Amino acid sequence: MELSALAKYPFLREASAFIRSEGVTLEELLSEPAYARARALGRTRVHEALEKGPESPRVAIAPADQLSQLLAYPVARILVSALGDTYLTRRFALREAIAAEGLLGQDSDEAILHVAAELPMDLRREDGGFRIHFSDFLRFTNTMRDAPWKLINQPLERGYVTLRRQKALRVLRNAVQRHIEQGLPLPVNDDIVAAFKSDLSEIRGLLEAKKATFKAEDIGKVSITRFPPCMYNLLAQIQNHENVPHMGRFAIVAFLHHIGLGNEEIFRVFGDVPDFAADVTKYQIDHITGASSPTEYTPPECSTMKSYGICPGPDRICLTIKHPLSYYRIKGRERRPRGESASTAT
Amino acid sequence: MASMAAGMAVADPAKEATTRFLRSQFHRYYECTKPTLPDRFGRREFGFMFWTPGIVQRHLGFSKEEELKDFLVSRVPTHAYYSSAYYDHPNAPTMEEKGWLGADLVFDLDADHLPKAASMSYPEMLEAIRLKIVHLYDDFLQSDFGFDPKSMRLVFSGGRGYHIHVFDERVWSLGSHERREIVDYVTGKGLEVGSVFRESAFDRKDFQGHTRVKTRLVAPTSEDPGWRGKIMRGVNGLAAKLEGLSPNEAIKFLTSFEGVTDADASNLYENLFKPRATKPRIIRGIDRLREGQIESLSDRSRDLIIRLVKELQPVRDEAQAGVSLEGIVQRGETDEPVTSDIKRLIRMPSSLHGKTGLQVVTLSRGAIDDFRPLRDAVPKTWTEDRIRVNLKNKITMEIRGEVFNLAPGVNDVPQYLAIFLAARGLATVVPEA
Ligand code: SF4
Repeated sequence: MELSALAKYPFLREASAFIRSEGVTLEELLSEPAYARARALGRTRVHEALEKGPESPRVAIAPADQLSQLLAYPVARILVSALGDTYLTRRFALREAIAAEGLLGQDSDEAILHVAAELPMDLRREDGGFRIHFSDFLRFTNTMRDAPWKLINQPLERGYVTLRRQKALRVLRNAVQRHIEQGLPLPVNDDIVAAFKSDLSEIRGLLEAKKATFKAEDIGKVSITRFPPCMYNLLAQIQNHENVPHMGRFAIVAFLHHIGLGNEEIFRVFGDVPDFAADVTKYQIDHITGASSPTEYTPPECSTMKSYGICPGPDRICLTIKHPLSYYRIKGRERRPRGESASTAT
Repeated sequence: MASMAAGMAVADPAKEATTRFLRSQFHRYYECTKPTLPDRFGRREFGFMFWTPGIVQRHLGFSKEEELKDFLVSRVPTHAYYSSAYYDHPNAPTMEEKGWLGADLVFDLDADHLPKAASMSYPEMLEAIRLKIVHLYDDFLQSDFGFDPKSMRLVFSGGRGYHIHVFDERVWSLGSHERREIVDYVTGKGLEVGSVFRESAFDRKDFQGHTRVKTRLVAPTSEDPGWRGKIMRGVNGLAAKLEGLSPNEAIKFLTSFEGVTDADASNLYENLFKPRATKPRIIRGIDRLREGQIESLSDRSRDLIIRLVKELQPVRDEAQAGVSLEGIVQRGETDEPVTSDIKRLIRMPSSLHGKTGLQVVTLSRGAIDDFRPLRDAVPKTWTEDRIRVNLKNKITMEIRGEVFNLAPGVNDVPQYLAIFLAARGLATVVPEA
């Protein structure tokens, strides 16, 4: 690929090879006045990841600008790595992936295939669109739970799922996001921290401010003492930043929705949890709860929870029910504090 | 020693003799059989059951074929399994310490889940399952999923079912959600009618500043990939079947499905077969349907016929367990004590099934068409020697090509039949005086 293309897709291995072949050293990148523009752009990208400031244009015409665009990427990665914050890392990967999806949308089919091959993703051209090996389709859509993305609703033939361009790009975005995330953090040394001292403290400030807005004071009108063990555990695990399987995240979102939390509230409950925020974005919460999809998902039944290994073992109430939602209802009936009516939680 | 002798005295001597007989035959089998090793043999966990019910030994790993063979010969298990998953340390006691590396896809179809299993004979059940497994192999795994026959293994379980192991490396790393998507695909779960029929605009009117677009549903063709084609082939097949029946028979057939009322059935029947136009030729709903015009059916009839087609799909999730997919244990998903849980282990080809004495046989796709378990899975090691057995009931069956009609009580039968009957609990061996 040429410099103009590499500047758009700087996460490709070729892009770092290009930088190496140009002989730009890390030291120069950090200090040379010639790279001041690249450093500024890199900083902007990190700010963008935290939704500060408008999106910066990513298509450059002049070769010098293209080089700055390209070099901005390692600068941004260094900044993200130096902060060592998983939430920021995920936000950054997502932001870059969305940018790539947009740029690929304007680009040729060849560019799409080229990027896919590097991830790697088995994507091929098929008249009028693309096809992708079903294993990659499953892998890169496993966070997308609504019916149009289910495998059974795809045209699957001889191992490949046919996709229209737009859908292929959406899958590619997930793959790019994962690719970027997996490459982070980079090792950072004291020189780097020193060189970016003021930038880093500025970003840290933004990050703290962003996180502060997420802190859910409490979870509103629902009562956590009525949660079944499974949901209580999931909530605790998520808030402790433990790795929760996809099914678990899905279950807790659907559960909170059904006991009466609004989507904004659900998002705020998890907003400061990087793992959660990256995989179950607001977009997905809207999907699970039916706000933006025809299906309103119900949390899985106890038997399903058990077979996924996310039922921590039934307690007394559990033994009488088949569904975690019943637990919440029964517990509400059992001892309703004065002043709280049964209708506070449906 | 004295207490043990006392214990033996209480035990049933016929039962003791039967177990001793089976154990010595199994021992003989393992002594002269080379075990079939799965690929990545050293990365699998093995599990075994023995002659005392309830005793399970798991978390075993072997690094050499001889080690496995020695184990089989010296311990003589009734059942032998290995994990569909690969681990860093297959013999570690917990999932966490094992270190999950990936897993084959394993499909397991068992006659226990056939709706009419209770009223079927053993060969009938096995035949019904064989048809299903072939359908799964041909029409799903090969044609839709594109698996190479070289990366699939068909296995007769030695009992009441068949398995397919898929060891294509592209599926190794798939997690449990992804695997469930594959099961859903195979069992027809989550199919959206909207993804089968596409809406297409056919008329557009501008009226007082509003645009009204009329749409119609376009049916797929039977050659379409995935479920679109399957549904269309099913719809056409079902319609053809109904056409061949008298109206009464057709209605009866339709109402035999659960939840289909007489009214639903007659509606659908009328929709399909009542003439709509007589000139220039008689046109009925079914004729339109064959031209791909699904809107010739009412919405209710359309949804009904699709539902029926889905139900007729032979690889269904009957009783939620007709098709189960093993190997979905993810790293760290469970570390609870799994001593009695062998669900995630699959039967080892070339081992013996303790409840039949039949061999777990690996089959090629070509071989399964003519495969008859009671003829082809009876180990060659079993001889014709006469064994005296005591039958609980009368037995009529065919095994190794011989037909037997046996009265209850004491009979002398060939060893291969004695083993089958004893293992199934239909006969006991008469202890030698
Ligand atoms: S039994 Fe049901 S409600 Fe209770 S913990 Fe398990 S999954 Fe949750």
